[in-house]
Amino acid sequence: MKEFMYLFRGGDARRAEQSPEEAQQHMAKWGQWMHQLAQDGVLKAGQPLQTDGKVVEKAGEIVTDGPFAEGKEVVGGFLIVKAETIEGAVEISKGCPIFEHGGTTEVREILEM
Amino acid sequence: MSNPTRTTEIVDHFFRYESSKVITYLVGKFGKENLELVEDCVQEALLKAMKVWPFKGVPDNPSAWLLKVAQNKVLDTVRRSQVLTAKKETISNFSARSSEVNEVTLDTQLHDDYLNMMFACCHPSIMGESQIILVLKILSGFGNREIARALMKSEDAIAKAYTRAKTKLKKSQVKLEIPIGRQLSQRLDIVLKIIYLMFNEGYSSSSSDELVKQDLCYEAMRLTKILADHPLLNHPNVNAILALMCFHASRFNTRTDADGNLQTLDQQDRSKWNKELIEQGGYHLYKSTRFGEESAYFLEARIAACHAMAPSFEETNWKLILTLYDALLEKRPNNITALNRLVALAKVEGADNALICLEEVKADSKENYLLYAIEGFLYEEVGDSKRATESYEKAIFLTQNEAEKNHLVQKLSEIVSV
Repeated sequence: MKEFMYLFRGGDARRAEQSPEEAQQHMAKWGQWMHQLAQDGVLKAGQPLQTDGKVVEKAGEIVTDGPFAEGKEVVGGFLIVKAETIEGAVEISKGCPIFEHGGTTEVREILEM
Repeated sequence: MSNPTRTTEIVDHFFRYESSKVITYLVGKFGKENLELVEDCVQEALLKAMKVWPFKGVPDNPSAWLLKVAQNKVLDTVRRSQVLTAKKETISNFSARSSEVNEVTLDTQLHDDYLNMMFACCHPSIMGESQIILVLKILSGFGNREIARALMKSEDAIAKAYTRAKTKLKKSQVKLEIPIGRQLSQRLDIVLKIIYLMFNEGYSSSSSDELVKQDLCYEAMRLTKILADHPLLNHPNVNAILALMCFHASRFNTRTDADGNLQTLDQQDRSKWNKELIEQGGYHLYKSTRFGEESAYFLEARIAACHAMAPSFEETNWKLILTLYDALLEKRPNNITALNRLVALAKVEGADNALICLEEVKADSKENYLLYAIEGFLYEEVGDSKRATESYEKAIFLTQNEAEKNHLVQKLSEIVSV
């Protein structure tokens, strides 16, 4: 079994427009999806991320507010899941509610020893 | 990882209710001039919850969590801003006390702030639809899209109307308080009028968006319940209007059939009416009884009670309903009441009599669909299918509502096929 990381990007603009009711429904979908992953024994870990942060370059010579590279969407959180292949990991990611808001999920295999 | 399931176990409309509670509480503290800031901060708090709770699980006290997050955001912004719009002492009081909020007093405070805002949104200086939009946005936590669908307006129009209404609310002399003394009953009347309009808007049948419309009705009922639960505001009219809404809402499940076709009172399956709501209606009707003058709401609630309690359409106490309509017409003369009265009149004194009365109503009312729908019904009752057809055709021409139109077309086809 290999491990994969999902990096969730974007969807913030659409999320900000939601009414409280829509926000609650969207949250419930995330909860359901992640619960299902946990039940299937696929979910290993995950954390949401604060929107703003810092980008450090040249050993701290340059520190900028980030990570807002022009036109790039911010990473809002990550999950680590277990799957046999990257295709399997991609398949699992398709149920992610982030797509409702036009966000994306980057799927990356975690390197092992 | 903690178990993420609990996000689905949060009660229905939790975000909606909590956001309105937190908004009214924080506006009570920071002043209505900071309404927008408060709204933004509450929205941010909801977004944070949405993002964090699925990962970390729902906090033990989700309401307190939302309040704390929103409040800290307001405080941060106010502290950072150059122009301190909020009173300095408020901020320092808050900073000192925010960590030791007593939950019992907080509950009472939330409740009071909520009611204060209710009276402010329904202030006479703010006009008609603006009042409804303010109520739905601030007190009910509806989004522009939901309001647009419920009121059948464009989202853009709602957004603009809300901005205007908010400006009015901020600039006017409207105070965030429950009016006292003689003012109270006048102001309560306006609040009830707005709630009543809200309910009617939701109750008006429409084939599309049935759910959001029902939400509007339940919301009107929830607001009235909050009034009824307050010792100062537990006025007979509040109970009367609540009774009326309970009786009407008890029929929600039977108003349309499986295909979405409108079902009139005589067609509805009464065994599917919501008994619990009818019982609640009865309770509030009892609480609304008082000596002396009977309000229009009370009379309407009694008419609704007659229908709700009747075992069948035929066994309805039409005599009593007619008497109540007579009283209601005296209290609040209008054509809709006069037209509805004719149905009861037809049942008690015969359709030919009702047709004679209809001519009087016709003389001083503009053309409308209800008039011809009832005329069609009366002609049908006396067996004049030719005239009934003509009336229904006029009614079909005049109604904008798809569900009503389909219903009338159905009736028409029944006449033709007989």
